[in-house]
Amino acid sequence: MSFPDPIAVFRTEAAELLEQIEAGLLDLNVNLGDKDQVDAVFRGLHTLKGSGAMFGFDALAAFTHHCETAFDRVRKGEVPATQELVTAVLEAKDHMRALVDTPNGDHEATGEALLANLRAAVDGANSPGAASPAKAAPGRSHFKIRFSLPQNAMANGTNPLPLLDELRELGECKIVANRSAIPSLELLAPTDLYISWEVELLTTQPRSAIDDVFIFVMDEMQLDVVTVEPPLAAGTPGKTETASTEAGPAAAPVAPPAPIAPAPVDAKQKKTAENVRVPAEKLDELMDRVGELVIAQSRLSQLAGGSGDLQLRAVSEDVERLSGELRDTMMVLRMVPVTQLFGRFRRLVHDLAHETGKTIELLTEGETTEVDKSVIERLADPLVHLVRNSCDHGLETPEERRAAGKPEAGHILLSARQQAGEVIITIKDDGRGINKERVRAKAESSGLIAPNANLTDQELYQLIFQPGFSTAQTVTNLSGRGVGMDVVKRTIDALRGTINVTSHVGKGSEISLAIPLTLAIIDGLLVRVGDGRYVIPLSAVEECLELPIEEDMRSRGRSFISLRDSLVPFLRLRDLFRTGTKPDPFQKVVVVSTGSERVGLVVDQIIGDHQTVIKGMSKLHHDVATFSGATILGDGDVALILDVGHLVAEGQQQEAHLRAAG
Amino acid sequence: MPASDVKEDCLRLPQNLTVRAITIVQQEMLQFLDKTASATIELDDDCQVDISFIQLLEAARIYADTAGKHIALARPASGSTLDVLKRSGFLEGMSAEDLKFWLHQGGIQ
Amino acid sequence: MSASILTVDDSASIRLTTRVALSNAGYQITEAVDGLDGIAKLKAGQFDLIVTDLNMPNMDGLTMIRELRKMPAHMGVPVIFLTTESDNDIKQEAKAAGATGWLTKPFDPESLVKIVRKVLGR
Repeated sequence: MSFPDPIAVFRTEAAELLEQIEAGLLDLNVNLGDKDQVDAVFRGLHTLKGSGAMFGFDALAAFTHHCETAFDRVRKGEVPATQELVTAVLEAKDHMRALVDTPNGDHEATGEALLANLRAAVDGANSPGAASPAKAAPGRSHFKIRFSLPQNAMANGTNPLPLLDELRELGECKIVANRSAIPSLELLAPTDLYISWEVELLTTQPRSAIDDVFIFVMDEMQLDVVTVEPPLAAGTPGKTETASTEAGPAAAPVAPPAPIAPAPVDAKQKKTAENVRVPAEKLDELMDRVGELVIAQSRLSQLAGGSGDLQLRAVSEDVERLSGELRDTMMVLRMVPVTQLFGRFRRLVHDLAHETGKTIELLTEGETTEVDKSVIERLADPLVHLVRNSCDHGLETPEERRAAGKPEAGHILLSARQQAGEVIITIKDDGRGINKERVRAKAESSGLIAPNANLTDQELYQLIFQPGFSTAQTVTNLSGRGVGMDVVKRTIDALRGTINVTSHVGKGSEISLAIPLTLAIIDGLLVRVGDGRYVIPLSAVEECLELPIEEDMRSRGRSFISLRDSLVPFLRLRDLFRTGTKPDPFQKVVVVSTGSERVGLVVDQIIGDHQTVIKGMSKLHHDVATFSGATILGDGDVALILDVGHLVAEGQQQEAHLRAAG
Repeated sequence: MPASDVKEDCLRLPQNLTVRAITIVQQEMLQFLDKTASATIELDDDCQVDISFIQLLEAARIYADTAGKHIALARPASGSTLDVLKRSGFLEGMSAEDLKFWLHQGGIQ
Repeated sequence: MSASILTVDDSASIRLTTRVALSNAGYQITEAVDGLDGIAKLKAGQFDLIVTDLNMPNMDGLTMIRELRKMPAHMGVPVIFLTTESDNDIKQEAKAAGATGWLTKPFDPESLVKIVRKVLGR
């Protein structure tokens, strides 16, 4: 086993740190008084400088040092955080990235210019009168806390000691136990708690941090928290003149260095101790092996199933269970939160706002939602398109917004959530919405639809994702700058995802992407149609029904079955695939769905569950829309994987045709 | 006052002195205190202690006091016991009596 | 000695997630697939903490917690339950049954470890 290249490891780490720093700076830009972010940026710069120097990136270390120093002064309250300073460091951050990527390049001139900016920003901020909200950063508060836990707390698993430890971690803390309620031994219920506590706490944390300590017992406990008057206002001895009250907190630039959270290096070390860094391609390799193991295992279980050897069967079942568990572990390892993905957009939106002169606020939700790493990588580009579109064309200029009676700042909400086996990523803006007439006109003129074609709103909106819809001349507010939205559609299709658009004129648009959580292996339902075997993704299967011959005959030409009072269109896969075989006497209908749309697929036989390792189709077959991929079966045969989204659409179309035909 | 004519009995407590076992410890302690006038409690060097045990000993002190008996620790609190005393805020504001009982400070037992 | 944790969940993937997260954090893990299995595991061994789902076949989490609180051998063992509801009623009910704390699903491994550390202490 080889050790990873330390330089490569440093580069990865540096990239993460730079992202962190950027995120911190952008947050700070929104709320200049946010002390946590000042600390976070400082820590990031500090670590970057330190490890840069360690790995021989001297230019990086030297340059970063200046930014770190600037932020150290902000942190100590000597200099307020200002927009100028944040912008200067943001620019400096890009330079740091260059220094990481090409340490031997010629960066000196750029670096000097950036540092000059930085100095100017610091000096400007330092000038008197530049008091900013940053100075309002809270000092230490003094709390007097009295509490008693529920009597049965210990019996129900709450150990008071960790809670007291947590209080101590909040700051300077004096804890006194009150034992006056403890009875004599013969009267004691030994698992009940009779002790209560009085605590004095000096902390930079807000009151809510105290509540957080007691979160699990909050409702049943007694908790009194009293805030004592601020401790001797940063008492600078000798300074006895009556400081005007309004200048109060702002006029104390030489505040004693607030007790800084544990040394930044410590925090970092703690974090690395719990994680092992693995290069992404190693994970992919492992995934491939697991995939092959799953295939070999299904071959084994087929062999075992066909043999009377009980021992072989037992082993085969064990292997099946183990490889299933291994697969699950693998999946968990590959899951990463969307935080990083979303993080990029804050910079993008920041820059776009700058470019377009709009005021744009980006909100994000569900950043901890986890998605397969390879899905995340492939989602980045389409999301950039969509966000850019919303900023460029969805949101109006401040003047237009004012005229429309909206707040000047446009909002873009980027959210992620899990729903069954999918992650739903939504880009929502409160801009002008999609102009349906213009979309229609454009689609008609480019020959995508027949004039006056009868389309639902959804169908109409989906047109913007058609290739050839957005050409060079920008027509609709969502067509982008000639950057085809069809790229978005193609990528999402390739991820086996779906796009859903809703829009209200004047109110904004919302585009939702529903993407499977993971790409590489799915649970499938193996079915037989004619002589061929096919896999239907299990996540899309709603139910399986018998299709008695009589029903089949009766429904010829109609192709609907009634399913609990609703008519569901169905497709005879035997006809669709032109197998030329006779229908099995016991045909089955597999009802599959995408969201609200359902369709029944008539198959000859349901073979059973099958762990499906998805293999891409060759280029030659790339245009075959009915299938999304292929898989290798236990006996070495290949089975095609049905593209449920496509089939459902086909079924719906059929329904529409039949309806139209009356 | 420790009188030499009082027979000193020693109760050696089990290792587990946490809430999980505290009910049994209470029974043992009560039985023991009932049959002796001067009780010495001996803790295992690496016993596990949580706050329920501190509370129990405090209750035992009250019991002994009311019954006119004497109770003491064989050795000053150390290890896990001392740690819990610290973390639970018992050390803060101990009376002379408390210091003597828990830490054998301020007088000879 | 590392603390030993019993995880009770009918979902293999949740069991796996918790196992991976908690064993990486240095805990010993025993798994049970439902409340009944949980009780069986509790009869067979000692644990420093229990992480359990509420909705399970055979015996649900609430019943298991109530049973557990009747077992003297497990007096005071902390129980963290997993819930998809941020609904206060369920939390109250579980607390009344004897639970110590909760974690809302979906959760990331880090927050699970954080909660376990919070409850077990150092």
